Amino acid sequence: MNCLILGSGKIGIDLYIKCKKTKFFKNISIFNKNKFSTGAKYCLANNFNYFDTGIKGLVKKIDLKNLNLIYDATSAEASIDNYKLLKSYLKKNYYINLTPSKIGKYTIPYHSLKSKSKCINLITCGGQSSIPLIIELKKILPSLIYTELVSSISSISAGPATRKNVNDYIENTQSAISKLTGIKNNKVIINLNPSDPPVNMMNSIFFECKKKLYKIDFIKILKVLRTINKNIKFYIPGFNAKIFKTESKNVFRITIRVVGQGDYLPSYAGNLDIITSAAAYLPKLIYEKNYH
Amino acid sequence: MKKIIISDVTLRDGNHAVNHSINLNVVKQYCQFAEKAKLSVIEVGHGNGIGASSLSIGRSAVPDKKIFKTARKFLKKTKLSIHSIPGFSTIEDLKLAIDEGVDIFRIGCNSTEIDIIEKQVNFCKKNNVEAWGVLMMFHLILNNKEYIKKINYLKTLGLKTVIIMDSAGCLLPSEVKKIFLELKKFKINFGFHAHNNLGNAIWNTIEAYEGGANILDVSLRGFGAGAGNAQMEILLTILKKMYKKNFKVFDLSQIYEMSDNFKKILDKNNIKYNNSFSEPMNILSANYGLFSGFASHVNNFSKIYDVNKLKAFEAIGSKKLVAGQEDLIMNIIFNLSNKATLKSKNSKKIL
Repeated sequence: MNCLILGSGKIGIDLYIKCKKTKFFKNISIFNKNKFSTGAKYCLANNFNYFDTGIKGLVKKIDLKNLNLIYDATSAEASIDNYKLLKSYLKKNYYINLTPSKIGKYTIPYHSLKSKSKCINLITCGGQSSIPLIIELKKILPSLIYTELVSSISSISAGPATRKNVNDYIENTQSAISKLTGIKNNKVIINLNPSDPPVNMMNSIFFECKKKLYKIDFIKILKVLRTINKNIKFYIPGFNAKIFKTESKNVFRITIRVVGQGDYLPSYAGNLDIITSAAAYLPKLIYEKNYH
Repeated sequence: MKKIIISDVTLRDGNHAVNHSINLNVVKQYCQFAEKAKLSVIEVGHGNGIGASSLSIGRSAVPDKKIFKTARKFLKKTKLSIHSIPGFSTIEDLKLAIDEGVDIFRIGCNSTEIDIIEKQVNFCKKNNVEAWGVLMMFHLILNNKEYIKKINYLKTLGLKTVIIMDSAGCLLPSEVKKIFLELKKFKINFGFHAHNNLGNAIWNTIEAYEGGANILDVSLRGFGAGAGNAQMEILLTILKKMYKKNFKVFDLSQIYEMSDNFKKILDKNNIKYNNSFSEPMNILSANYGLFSGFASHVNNFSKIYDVNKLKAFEAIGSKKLVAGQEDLIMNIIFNLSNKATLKSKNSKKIL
């Protein structure tokens, strides 16, 4: 397989390093438009397979014999044009959208690769960390009626694209939760924390059930949490979910702390690490699907 | 001279003081009073603004839409405003407010992150509704006059009005005076929103007024988050004494009467309410530069986990939590409790 990364921002570079670690790829290339950007300079200084030819150069690099994974780590706006250009190449190849735009099928690697689409949307960091939990807990809590995801991220780890996209982030996460988990009544809140030293990324999910929860329910919930914490570590090693009871008998809260792996992004930027980890785990699933 | 705008936040900031339980009856009576007293603007809704009703911060007793509808029905000359913090609210929420006829959209967030309001401001422009920029937790950008950059940025968004919010209630009158001296060169409208944690809400607001602020945020009986806001009755009494002409339009007798009745109205509607007063925890929250609305949460969780309140504030202050991170207050206090020390033998702490 070959891997083509579009965008040399924080996400693009971190993904490049992670893809290299997976050893799934024969070739990894990274593209942007501006060779004077901070990211481009980093790529050149570290001998990355870097090109300043943008999307057009990327199209030329698509290897027609091999399966290509094309990662879009630009911005929500740019991804729309990129996708238009790449559409005709997707019969064989994969387009993986890491921006918060709506292009692609919502995908959570935790639940394997069921969809047939070759255009994949990795939703948002909040979506990647919360949706597996909501899906699994809904199975044991049939009276679950409402979820609320509160994400706190350090303000330094939110780049200009994230800041412009706060609205897209919320809308995209809410719509993915409602589509993938069936909880139509859900709310997403995001806070940027300016504290220095930066705080680790933290998500809280409130679960509201129609019925009172008993001890037996909490035993079941704990069991599910243990399984998820164990399984998700395959691709997000810094993931840790814990349960907190609240005053109300039909509400509980789960907090997820994600410590990043510190490849290119600092470890407090667990929010970005979730997306790049999920993206770097996809080639394994795609390989299994296409060659087994 | 710029027109003076008395902007009453009793029904919005005050909602923090009663766990967002203000109902339509109260909204109705309050709006009727605001008209009679000739207040310029009143703000309604959840304490954290539109779209913020949630399990983590507290649910509103009444949905945003109904509150706006009721307020709209009873307001004629007094304008209706809302507070909006992107991250809690989305463009969808703004659409709803526009449809319900809200006049002024006060869009803001913590001053350090102010660039996230761009999308909502542009949306207001596109829809021809009035948007004001709000710099919350202003003390975070005092160092090296960082606020000059932020206000320049807000100007580039096309905003003509900016509200300075001392959300932590930690600014001193001398600081407010200095800030507004700097702001004079901007030639836009400025407003000031005080909190009374250190007992300075009134004089900070007067300093702002004398420094050129023409929008003054007030609340009846100081009803607001934490130690409350600048008390309208006191502020207008003093300002009328000092600058009689400029404050002629506002009807103090109506305001005093409502002040007397307000408690009864809340009682009748079963809304529990303590007179705003700076408790030691409010003083501490200002001292650590924390959002005023945290005090009640800290109080609550300290009781549940049997943790010393002052220690809890110290710990939360060191983490520099900001409004919206109410969920983390519980984690921090839990970690301070005996339960955590018993558990920590087996597992790591959360924060």
